[in-house]
Amino acid sequence: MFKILLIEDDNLLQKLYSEIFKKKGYDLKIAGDGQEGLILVKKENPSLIILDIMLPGTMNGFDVLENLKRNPDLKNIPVLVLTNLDSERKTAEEIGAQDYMVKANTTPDMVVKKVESMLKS
Amino acid sequence: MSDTTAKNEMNQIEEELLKFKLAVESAAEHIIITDPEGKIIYANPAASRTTGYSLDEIIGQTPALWGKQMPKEFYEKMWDTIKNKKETFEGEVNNIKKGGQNYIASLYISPALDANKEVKYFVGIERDITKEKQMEQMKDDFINITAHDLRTPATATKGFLSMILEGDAGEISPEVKKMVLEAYEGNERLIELVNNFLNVSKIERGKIIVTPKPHEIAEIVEGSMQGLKTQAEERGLYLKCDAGTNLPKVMADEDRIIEVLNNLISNAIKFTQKGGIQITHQVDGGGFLVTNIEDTGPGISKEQLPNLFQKFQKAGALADTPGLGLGLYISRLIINLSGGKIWVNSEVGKGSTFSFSLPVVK
Repeated sequence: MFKILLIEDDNLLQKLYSEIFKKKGYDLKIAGDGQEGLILVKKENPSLIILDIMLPGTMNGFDVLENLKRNPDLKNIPVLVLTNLDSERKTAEEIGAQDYMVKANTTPDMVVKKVESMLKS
Repeated sequence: MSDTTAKNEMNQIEEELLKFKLAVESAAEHIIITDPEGKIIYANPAASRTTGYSLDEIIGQTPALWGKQMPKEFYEKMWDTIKNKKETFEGEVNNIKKGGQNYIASLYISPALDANKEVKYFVGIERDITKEKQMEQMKDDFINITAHDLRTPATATKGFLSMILEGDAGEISPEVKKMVLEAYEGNERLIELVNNFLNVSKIERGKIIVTPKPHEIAEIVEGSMQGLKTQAEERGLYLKCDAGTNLPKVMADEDRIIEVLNNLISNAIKFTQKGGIQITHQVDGGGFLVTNIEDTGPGISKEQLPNLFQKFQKAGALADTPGLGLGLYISRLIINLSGGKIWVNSEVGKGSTFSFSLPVVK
């Protein structure tokens, strides 16, 4: 069973994605902000990270991504940026995100499919 | 000429001069006159107020005294415009007041030419627009945050409803499915409105960013179709796309082209009662790949065709449907910014084909 870490602060979206990933047979861990996210990455060693950009606290998604990419142990974990900001793909990819999706333009099924294809490659 | 006439003429000239001097001195805009090398030979009191330097400190200097904050290319272009082309230069500049405080100014420099069309003076007019700029920034931030915050609950709604429709919560009766689909479509409209609202605001401010990268168009079409297939199926419409194999890659900004496709395909679904939507591709000789969205809907009358891609336009049969009529306008702007074209072929009773072209990767 693949372990996925979701870094997302919105309650409703946390529920939404945990429903669909549970249904599709994934083990989904959830962090509500960037700092918690980084702690959980080290503890859980997930196969993939789904990362929001607008996060509460001192770190936004880009900060988290930079942190991950600086760490030799974590930099190879693929990151899917899943955000409702629609003009940040370039920045996210430059920092090292494997892929980028705009939440409002996707369904949970599409997110799962994307994760599946990322885990295959 | 008698003495009195000469005196009268002098008086008249003096009066004319006085009129211009008074006008320039009282103007709220910062006005300076320089020689052809840029050395300041006149400055009005407003120039002293905006820059913080006294008139004594300004005269004899160049505007670099408070300027010089822009990249080299900016000033090169400015000099080329006013000195070589002898045209008015218009721009926005970052300046620094005497006290070290930054400000933004709108700037106009016009060459004043003599009878031989040689530059005699330059006239520079500046206005401090720092406050306007701050307001604009606040407005932008407000729109961005509002749009983002509106999208989040709409995303959750979309997600849960689509899971119900996909059968993730078990089998549902056709009646429930129909209702859930209505809710789903209402929510899609909300998302579309927010997207359009945000896009128009960005486009009008020249802030929409289109970053084309090499892409398989068929993959982008596939992504868009995935999100719309339930809606088509529920209306008993087919939604098909040709395989798109052996097509050259195109330069496309995936997220933006998805928006265009979502708009064109969901329009086609909305207005087609019977039949369906077929998406095809063809390579056009001039280095473009054309994508066609062909429907079996009612078609669009000749009168409505020319205005279809204008802002706030809705074709007659569509006039009663909700929405701002911004979708096609935004699609056109996105396609144009991508280096392509968008157009429509339609005839009443025979359906419509919306097409757009994107540059093929060289």
